[in-house]
Parts: sequence; structure tokens; C-alpha cells
Amino acid sequence: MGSAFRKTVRKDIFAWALMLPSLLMFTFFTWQPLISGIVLSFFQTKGYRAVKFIGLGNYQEIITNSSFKAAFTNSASYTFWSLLIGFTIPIIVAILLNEIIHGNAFFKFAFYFPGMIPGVATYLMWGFMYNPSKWGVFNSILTGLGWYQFGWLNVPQFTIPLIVVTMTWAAFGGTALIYMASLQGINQELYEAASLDGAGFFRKVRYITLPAMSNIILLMLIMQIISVFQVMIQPLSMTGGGPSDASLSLMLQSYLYAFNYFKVGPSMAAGVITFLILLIPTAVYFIITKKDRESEV
Amino acid sequence: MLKRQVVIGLSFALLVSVFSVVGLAQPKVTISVGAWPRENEPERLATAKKFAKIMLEKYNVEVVGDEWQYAVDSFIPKATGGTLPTVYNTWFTEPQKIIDNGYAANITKQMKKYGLDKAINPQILSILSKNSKIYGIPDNGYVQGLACNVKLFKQAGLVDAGGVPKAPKTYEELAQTAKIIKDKTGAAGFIMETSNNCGGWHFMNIAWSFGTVFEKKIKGKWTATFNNPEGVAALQYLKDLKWKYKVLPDTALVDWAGGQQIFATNQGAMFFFGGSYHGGFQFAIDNYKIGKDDISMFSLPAGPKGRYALVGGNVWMFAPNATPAQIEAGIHWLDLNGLSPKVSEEFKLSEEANYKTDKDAGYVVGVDGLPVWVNPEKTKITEAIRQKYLNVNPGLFADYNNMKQVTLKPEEPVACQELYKALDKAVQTVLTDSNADVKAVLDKTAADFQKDVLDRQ
Repeated sequence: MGSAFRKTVRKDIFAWALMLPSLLMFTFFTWQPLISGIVLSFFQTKGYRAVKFIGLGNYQEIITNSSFKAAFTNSASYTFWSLLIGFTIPIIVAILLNEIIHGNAFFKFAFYFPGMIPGVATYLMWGFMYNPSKWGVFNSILTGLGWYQFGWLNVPQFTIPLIVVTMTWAAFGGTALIYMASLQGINQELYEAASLDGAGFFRKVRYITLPAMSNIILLMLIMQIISVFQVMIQPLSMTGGGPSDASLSLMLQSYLYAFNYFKVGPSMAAGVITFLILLIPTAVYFIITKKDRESEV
Repeated sequence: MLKRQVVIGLSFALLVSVFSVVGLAQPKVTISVGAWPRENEPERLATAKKFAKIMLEKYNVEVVGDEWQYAVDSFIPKATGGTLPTVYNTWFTEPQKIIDNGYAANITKQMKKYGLDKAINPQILSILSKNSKIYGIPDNGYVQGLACNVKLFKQAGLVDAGGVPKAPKTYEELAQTAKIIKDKTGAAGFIMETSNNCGGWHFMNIAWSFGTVFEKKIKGKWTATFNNPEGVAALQYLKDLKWKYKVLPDTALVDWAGGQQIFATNQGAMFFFGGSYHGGFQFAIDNYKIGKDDISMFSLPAGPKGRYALVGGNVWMFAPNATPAQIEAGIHWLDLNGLSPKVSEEFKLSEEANYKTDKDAGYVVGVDGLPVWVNPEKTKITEAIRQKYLNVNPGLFADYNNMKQVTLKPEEPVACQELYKALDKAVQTVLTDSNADVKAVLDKTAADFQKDVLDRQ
């Protein structure tokens, strides 16, 4: 085994040397924290030091905590609303941008622009828009039109969907660019052939564009589920998880354990629970893409 | 022969003198000090540099400045990485969890050596100790009071001939005063902070004055007791401020910064705030440009069962890896900066620099903090220096500065931050749901806090 490994390394020594910096970075900044986190989640901790092995004690503490149910269902709720509100928008924008001939660069920049604003600034700005007083931007418009003030983030049923709107605003431009890149790769002759056969815009989208984008759409779907399920900065900066836990997420709970209460063990356990949940969509993605590749072969 | 004896004698004398000099001279010690003044505070920076020179000359201690200030999101990484400054500054809310996690050095021996343990206000000492061991030296303290927006009080016709607001003396009066302000100005009469643990923190003042006991040790076990009739009455009072008197801001998500924003931008007239000797209303003045003359402060109102005000403040702690020599050097440093009962020339210099910085920056000079050192002479000197730099009408702060009229109370003894978080939820619930059953909300909060936190102590 050892000699086989040495042989492999020696054979491709140049390739290994090239990979070494990124391998080291990956080990130190990705794998080491991940493994340490998993290990710490089974220990009673003092700061980041493991003091005593307590098995599933931290997990029990997290799961029986009165806020866990809210944190878990809210994380799922963020994901649901983000798919409902935010999943199709970048696809539509990418297809439309691809069709636009004049001002394409301007629109690309305009859509990507929100993504360049630092996250916390974005969410504080949206906080002003959602301000439930008569001075709030949206409420000024509502009252100007003769309607009533609305509570916005203060209304627990609306807190998560409204936060998701801000997340979509900030991120859809970047995702649209990725979709556009995949659109560039579609063989133009297919469109020409379809046009000759009398297909209109929608039929071309239905039968050429969407099937060609299916892989990237699936990838983005999985990526969105994974990233939105881990939502933290948005509720932290906009609502603090409130009102009454209405926007608390699992990762925010993990952050509060570590930074507000210095309880690293339970914080890591919350992270591991999130990790395990997210293994499911990741596995689904790998299975589907593997099947895809096999069918192509 | 005689010559030889003289030479031997002289050599011996020389040797003894060399050894005695070496023995007396202390080895050089280096310490780093957090919250070091920045370039935009030239007076304080110059004083710090001057003191660093004194430390080198007098104690052979090299002081290295570190501008890092305590923040919850950077503390743990720094502490874990072993890069905390030798002497670092934090808030009264933090020492217990810092001690529990082993991120502070035990300084009991050095405190006793210099008699500092006897000189600290005993209420404050308890916050900085665990199992009879001392871990911190207080910098300054505050007592929560009722800050009033003078402009809004004027608009509502609620000021006396001297321009001082007619502030409420009881919580019942607070509701009435807030109502008048709301009716006459349209601004919120009272700002209740509700999130990032501030809801629970501020609710303490009201609940204690209504007679609530939050935590009790029953048969050796800590028990949540705040769902008693007094606690329910206090939370009902808050609910009434929102739904009956309609005097709170429209938003029910107000953190520490948000509360100051509403106050300083004339959208709210009264809120709970901790006064301090230095940097008076710095955050509101720097960020939201309220004028120092538009602020007034009063003692917190009385409830049916008393007039309580929460105390808090800042404390200096020592990195866990600090050596005894470094701890001693740190204590000398803090002493030089006036953090001891002693009155020295350096202390006067430091106070002068601090008040001059405050006055130049346009912060309020004239509001009291909570004295942390038991020494009337020192208080007198501080007061004399402050008078030189006074920049507001003292009448605007006279009621607050008369702290004898309130009972000062430190934070609850067990899992304070978790308690605040749990109470945040209760406060937010009654402020967002006009139909919330106050008793049921408080019963659930107490049961959850018991199960999630106290049962695990």
C-alpha cells in the first residue's frame, strides 16, 4: 500500500507538486475545521478545548431545547420560500438577457449590481425599507397611496418570506450569470432549425433551452437548498431571530450558542445536524448526475 | 600582604554590589493592553504613551498597545488562538462565562497583595469573582436611568421654567407622560428595546420594581420564579404600553443601537440607558447627531414594590496565559490609569485627558457613572476635574445623578444572557400579538428557561 502510494506520487510528482498548495489549504481550512467540529460536538467543551466525552449529550441539549423545533422548521421554511420566490427568477432573467441584443452589458451589470453590495449593508438597507413605522420606505408608499401601515418583519407569518425576498434580490444576478454562461454553450443551429420548423420563442425555450440547461438547473437547485438551509447573516442582522423565534434558523442558533453563550459543544452539534440534513440533497444530486452520465455513455 | 587583602576585599565588595544591583533590578516584563486609544483620540493616546514610558522607567515593564476591543464575535477566536492582549477590557455581562471557559487568569493573589479586593464596591466584586477567586478589575460602572429627549418634551409642553423635562417618577406616570408626548408630537413616548438580549435586560428594571424575583435557589436547585403575579403584572404593563396606551414604536424588533437611533432621531422620547462618567451618549451623538443639550437623564421610575435600577459596566481581565509577573505589571498599569483607590498625579492627568477628549468630541460631560472604588477623596477630585469641563446644564442630569433614590441591583446570578434571551421572546410576543395571554406566555418562558438552562446548571 505504502509503496504503491509512493509509486503513484513519484510517477506524477509534478502534478502533485502543483496540487500541493491547494491540498494544504483544503486540509487546513476545510477538512480540519470540519473534522474538529464533528469531534467537538461529542465533548463537553471549555472554549474550543474538548474537556470530557459526553457522547450525544450536546445533541440531546440541542434537540430538546425549546427553540430547536422553531429553528429546524424555519430553516426548512427559508428553503421552501427561497425556491418558490427565488428559484425561477434567475432562469427567466438569464433567458431574457440572452435574447436582448441592445444594452445587454448594461442589464447584465444592473442585475449583478446588488450582488456587489456587502451583505450586512444590503440587509440593513432592506431593514429601512421594511421599517414598520410611518417613516419606513414601503410604509411611506403605502400611506401615500392612502393605505394602512404594515408591520412587515414584525408580522411573524411574513418574516421569513420577506427576508427571502431580500436574499433573492441580493443573489439572483450572480445566479443569472451562471445560467447565461450555460446558455452560451447551446448549439445555435438547433434554434435555427427550430425556427425553420416554425417554432416560436416559448417552444424554443421549452424544447431546446430548458433541456440543455437541465443539468445546471439541477445543480443550482441543490446549491440553493444547501446554502439557504444554512441561512444566518440575514436573520442575525435584520431580526435577531425574532419576533419570538419566527426567523430563528439552525445556523443562527449555532452562532448564538458559540458566540453569545460560549457553548462550543452544542454549537458544533447544531452544525453537524445541519450537515447531516444537507447530505441528503447532496447525495440525491450525485445519484442523479451519475445516472445522467451513465445514460450519456 | 596588606595590598593583596585590600584587592580581595575590594573585589568582594564589587562582586556583592554587582549581585545586589542585579538582584534588585526586576527582569523586563512585556504586556499588551487592549482597547488602546486610536489616532482620533489624540489626548488619550498621548496620555497612554506617556504612561507607557513611566511603566518602563518605574517598573521595567514594556507596554504594547493593542487596539482590539472586546466583541462577542472576535473574542472566542482570539482567546482560542492565544492572542488576547495580556490585559483586556470587557463588559460586566461577560466575566462569568469567560471564567467558566478558562479565558481569564486568576488574579486573587495580586489583588490581595495590593489590598484591591477590599477597595472595590462589593456588589461589583461579586460579578468579577467565582468560587471566592477574583478575575477582574472594574474600569467603570453604570446605573440604568431614564434618558429623555428634551426636544420632544418641549414640543409636548412637558418642561419646567429651567427647560428641564418633567420626567415621570412612577411607571404609572411614565405611561401617562408617554401618552401626552405621543398625542402631541406623534413620536413614540417610550422606547422598549426588545432584541439581541436587550429586551430581557431592560425588562429587569420594570419587573424588579413590580416585585418580581427571577431566580431562586429552592432545595439547592436554581428555579425560575418570574411567572409569579408580579412578573405577570410587569409584562402586562409592557403590553399595555403597546396596545392600551399605544406609546411604543411601531417596530417590535429594537436592539441597543436601534433604540438609540429612534431616540436620537426624535422618533421616541424616553428609553432606558446607562450613564457613564466618560463618553456620555457617544454612540447616539456620533451616529445620529443628536445634540448634547437635547438629552436629559432621570432616575428610573418606581413600581408598586420599589424603585430598582440595574447596574453594569466595564471590567479589565487578564489573558489566561499571563504570568504572575505580567499580572502584577497589568495591575500597575491599571493603577497608573486611575483604576485603584489611590489618588495619584497620573490619575489626575488621565482624568483631565479623558474629560478633555469628551468635551472636544461634543459628548455629554455632566452625567454620573457608578463609582467602582470606595474612596470619597477620589470621587471629590474627579468631580472637581469634571466641573472644569462641564458642557451641559447640570439640571438636566441632577435627578439621575442623585442615585440614592433608587435601589441598585446587579444582574441575576445564574445564566443571565440566556435569561435575557428567553425574556426577549416573551417581550416580543406580547408586543406583536395584542391577544397574547400574558400569564401563559410567562409560564411557557419560565418552563422553557428552567428546562433549557437552569436544569443543566
